[in-house]
Amino acid sequence: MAPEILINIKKRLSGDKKISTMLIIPADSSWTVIFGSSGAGKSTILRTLAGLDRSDKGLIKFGGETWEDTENEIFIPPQERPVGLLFQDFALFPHMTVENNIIYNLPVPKEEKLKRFRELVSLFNLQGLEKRKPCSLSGGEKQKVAIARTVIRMPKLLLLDEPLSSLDLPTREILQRELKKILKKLQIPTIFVTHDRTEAIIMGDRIAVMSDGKVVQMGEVNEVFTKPDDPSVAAIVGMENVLIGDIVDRSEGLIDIKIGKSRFVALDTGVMGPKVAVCVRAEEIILEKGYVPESSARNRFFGRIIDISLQGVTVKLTLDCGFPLVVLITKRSFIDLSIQKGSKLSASIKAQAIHVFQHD
Amino acid sequence: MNWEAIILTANLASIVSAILFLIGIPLAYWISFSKLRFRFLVEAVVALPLVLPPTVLGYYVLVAISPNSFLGRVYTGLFGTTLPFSFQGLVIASVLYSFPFAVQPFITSFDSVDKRFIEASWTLGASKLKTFLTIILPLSVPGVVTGLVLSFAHTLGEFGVVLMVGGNIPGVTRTVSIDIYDKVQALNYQEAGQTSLFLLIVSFTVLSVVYLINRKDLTLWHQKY
Repeated sequence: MAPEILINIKKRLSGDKKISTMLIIPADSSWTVIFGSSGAGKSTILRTLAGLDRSDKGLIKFGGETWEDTENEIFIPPQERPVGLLFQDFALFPHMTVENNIIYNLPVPKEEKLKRFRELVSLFNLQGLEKRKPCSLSGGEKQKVAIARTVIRMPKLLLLDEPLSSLDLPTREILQRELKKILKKLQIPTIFVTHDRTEAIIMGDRIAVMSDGKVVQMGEVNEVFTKPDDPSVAAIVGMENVLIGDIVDRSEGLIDIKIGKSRFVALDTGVMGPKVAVCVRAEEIILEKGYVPESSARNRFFGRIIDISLQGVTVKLTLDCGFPLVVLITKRSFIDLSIQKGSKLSASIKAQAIHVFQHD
Repeated sequence: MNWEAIILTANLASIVSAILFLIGIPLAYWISFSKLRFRFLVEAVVALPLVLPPTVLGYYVLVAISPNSFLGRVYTGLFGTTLPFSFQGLVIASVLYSFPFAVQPFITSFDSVDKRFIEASWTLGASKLKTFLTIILPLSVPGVVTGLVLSFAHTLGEFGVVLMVGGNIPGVTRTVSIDIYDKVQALNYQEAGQTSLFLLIVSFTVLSVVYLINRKDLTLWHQKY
């Protein structure tokens, strides 16, 4: 059996918040994304893993090693855990040069230190920055220095705490790809915390969705995003459309759901009725100009655009079809269809793209 | 000018600043970083010399180091002399009197070191001591220098405590401020004026240095980046 990372912790945070989490992650070279809105307790999990926070009650095991066991009063201090933690804003030491930051407290002989340092400088393209102070570096350079400082001591577990959130959008998109490319080479199990959906999809092999201090679903990224276990997960992972309706008919593996005056057709997954939540991801809705009466899609709605908001390369539209329907399309489609407020459009959704959950 | 008194005072102030560095830094670290429930009480004790009349402080020091006290007996047993009205006694009293001037800036500067730098150092395997010496202390240089300079300057100008504990023995406990007082009592206004002017210039220079190193754009590096 491959070694595993076991995290089973309970911790009371300030206010009413508390964390009660049970996670088992394989300690192979895969990436696990912990995803959730801010304040869901994601960072606390990383801090507890790194030994910076103690849990009130809990057990943390890494393979055969026990890092924390409150029952047997075991607590390995952060200095002795083979963990590399990349802080949100990198936390480079401001009074040290790039070189001294990277080789800080590296417990190897001098020649080995320099050898590893030179390797990382060329791997991360940091030539010429060795003697600079962090305050004179760009966001991307700081990130590379911080990663170099973390990986030079060859940690057995890498923890990344929203490492890109402090950067502007274009830099972030470039660095997302670079970060994963570089770190994949190192073959270290990695836990990545983010509240950004795109980042979670790009970075993760598997994803753990957190809400109110609990892991509500864990699985392959695709699976979690396209088949959320329940409406709360759907809301977190970004099922923009969550509508409540009643099952009115079941036949030939399909169910008919009535929402207001409209009807939805979805695959019959055996969901119990009669009240159900219908969840649709905004990017799985196809828009066409004007009124399109026929199509292979089982669900077609006709409506007017009531809201437009630009989000980087995509555009988020709200269509009033008797109920609000949020649709995500690319900027190019947005221009090609020459959409503006009040435009009349047809929306079609395949039955498979509709996720139905029981709703009490 | 009475150079004997000036040299004696400078000696006293340097020794006091050195002692405050040695005991103030660990104490400030303890106050700043241990999660004390009663931190406010410890801080109040540290700040006490700021508000106590020098005579009150001097009285307690005098009682504490008198040959009949425990401390006094131990000292006499070890060195064969007594503490009151000696230079050593004056050092003890001055350390207590200037305590907040050193320790408060130390605490403030330790408190303002970004916690993430400390945690980053820990996760990079550095012990608490190494983290203190390589991260916290270098980032606190302005505060530490401020504390040392202020306690030095404060010791230069003390009067009440010296009079209570040290008396007025030329070359042993007669400091600049006592000397000025003496000269005025003897109606020797010219010499009193010279020494006063000298003290004024030194104090002004020292304070200018403190404000200079604490000016934001002149700190040795930027904490926030």
